[in-house]
Amino acid sequence: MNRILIIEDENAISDLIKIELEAQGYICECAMDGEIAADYIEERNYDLILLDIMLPKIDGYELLEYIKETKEIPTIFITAKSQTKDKIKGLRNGADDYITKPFEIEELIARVQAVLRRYNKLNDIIKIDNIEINVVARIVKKQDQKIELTPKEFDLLMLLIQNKGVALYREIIFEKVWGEELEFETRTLDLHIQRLRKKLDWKDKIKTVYKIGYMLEI
Amino acid sequence: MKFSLKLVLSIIVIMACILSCSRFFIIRQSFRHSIEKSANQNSNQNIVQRYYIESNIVNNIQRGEEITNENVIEYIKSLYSYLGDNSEKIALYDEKENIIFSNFEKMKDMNINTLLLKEVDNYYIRNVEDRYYMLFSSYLTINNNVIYIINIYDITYLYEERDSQMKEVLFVDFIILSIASIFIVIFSAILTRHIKKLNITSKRIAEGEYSNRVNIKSKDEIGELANSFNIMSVEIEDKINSLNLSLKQKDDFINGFTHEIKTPMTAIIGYSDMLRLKKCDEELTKTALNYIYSEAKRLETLSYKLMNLMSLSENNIELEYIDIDNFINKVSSKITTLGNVTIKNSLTPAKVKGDKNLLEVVIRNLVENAKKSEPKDNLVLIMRRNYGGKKI
Repeated sequence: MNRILIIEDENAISDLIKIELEAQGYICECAMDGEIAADYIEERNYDLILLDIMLPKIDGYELLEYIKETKEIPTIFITAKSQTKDKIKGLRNGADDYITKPFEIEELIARVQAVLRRYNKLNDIIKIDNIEINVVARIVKKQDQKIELTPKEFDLLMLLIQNKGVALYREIIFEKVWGEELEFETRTLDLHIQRLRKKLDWKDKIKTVYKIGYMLEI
Repeated sequence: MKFSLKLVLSIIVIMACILSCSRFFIIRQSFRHSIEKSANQNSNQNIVQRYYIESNIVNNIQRGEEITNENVIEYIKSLYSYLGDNSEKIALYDEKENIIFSNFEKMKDMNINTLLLKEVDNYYIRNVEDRYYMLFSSYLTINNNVIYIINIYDITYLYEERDSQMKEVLFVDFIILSIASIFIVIFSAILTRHIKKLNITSKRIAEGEYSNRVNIKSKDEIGELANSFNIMSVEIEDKINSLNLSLKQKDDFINGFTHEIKTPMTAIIGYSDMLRLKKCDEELTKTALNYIYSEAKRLETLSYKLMNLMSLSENNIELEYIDIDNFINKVSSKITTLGNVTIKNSLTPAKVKGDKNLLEVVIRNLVENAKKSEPKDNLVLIMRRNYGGKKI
């Protein structure tokens, strides 16, 4: 399990990130200001740091310098500063990525995974049940047998896996996979779920939750 | 074309025109004059000669000799052969314009006509084989026979003189113009030097170097232009600076504002998205909803602040002198949200310039912030300190 340090002075946001990342199976710790963060970095080991720029006591840029000097931990900036010059400054100083507020949590998760993968701290391949998924190449295999999935089926599968064990509302599943512009069509979603169940032989694993939607249970 | 080049060329062209016109006029006048002079001389000579011939003939008649055309011709021939080759040429014509005698071989090319023969006391100029000749005519009447005497004088030297004068004048003019051009070039360079300076500086300013000025110390129009140019560039620099400053202030404000607005927004979007996608347990739902509520409240406060700010920038603030100690006492008595915290005012009487309503907001905020930090003795103390000459 990857350990992530969240350095953010706003409780609301650090809690949000913590809840979402822990749901993905990461171990998270929060630091509310630069000093506490520096102590944590010195005492403990992390695989990734999420770093706000505007922090009390020690600001994000200084902290980044400290991180790069001491431990070489991959770092993602999270900040409200969305101007190109701020982004460039962050990336030049050694940040691995840059997320501007307001961000959507899916984007944050994707970027966290991408950075971890780059540092070989995360496998490209997710193994779940008897299914093997190459996230980068978007290839799904079952007992070394390639399973052909359409792009939407693949996206749907990834959403279910990321939220396994949690019941998801069907309208929102549709919105996340097909996009906000399209009008919700329950038949399209139901059809894709059925195709997934059949192709992966997951009839009993992708469960229909009454009045809510679907849930992956493994 | 450059201004200095235009100046130089136009002055040279004008000078050349004036010089050549005046030269031409003078040379023409002097040439005419010399022609007149030589005509006078020659006409006198012609008269003298005629008189001489006449008196000789009269002598002959008195001696009882018979006078015929042939005699006259013989006589003139002998006279001119006596005078020699270098003498002026002569030609004799009869009434029918036939040539009787001439010691000048080109006489046939002279194109002599009646008009010329009859027009006595006048001269004619003929050009034969690049030489110029001046002709005079007079006549003798002998035995009712008319003999026209035409004297021919070579005046080519006058024309040659004129031509050589022309050449000299051209040469002199060329030298004058060359020297003048050099001076004009120098003067125009001196005159346009300031214009060049102005040009360079205005280009620099156009490129954004607003602090550039021209340094021209001259009392003419260009000096005045440079002066007003400098005044203009000072104005421009000031305007640009204040524009940049207000732009920067606006930028800073927007940056700060977006930061203030983006943080609660991220939380609201994040938690609400979580709630609508997943069936969360009760505890998580409550946490999420609490965050959404408090962050939305934060946005609300922010929007109020923004509205206040907008109304502030719209209305002009009227400043008045306020007795600060009395004013604070009045405001303190109005603050009801203090609970068990009391306000102690230790200000001595003083006047402050400000807007009453805004000052009240400031004091309320200060007191409430002080209260929030939970003073141990439940006391908010208002006092005055000196900071670098300013009293706070």
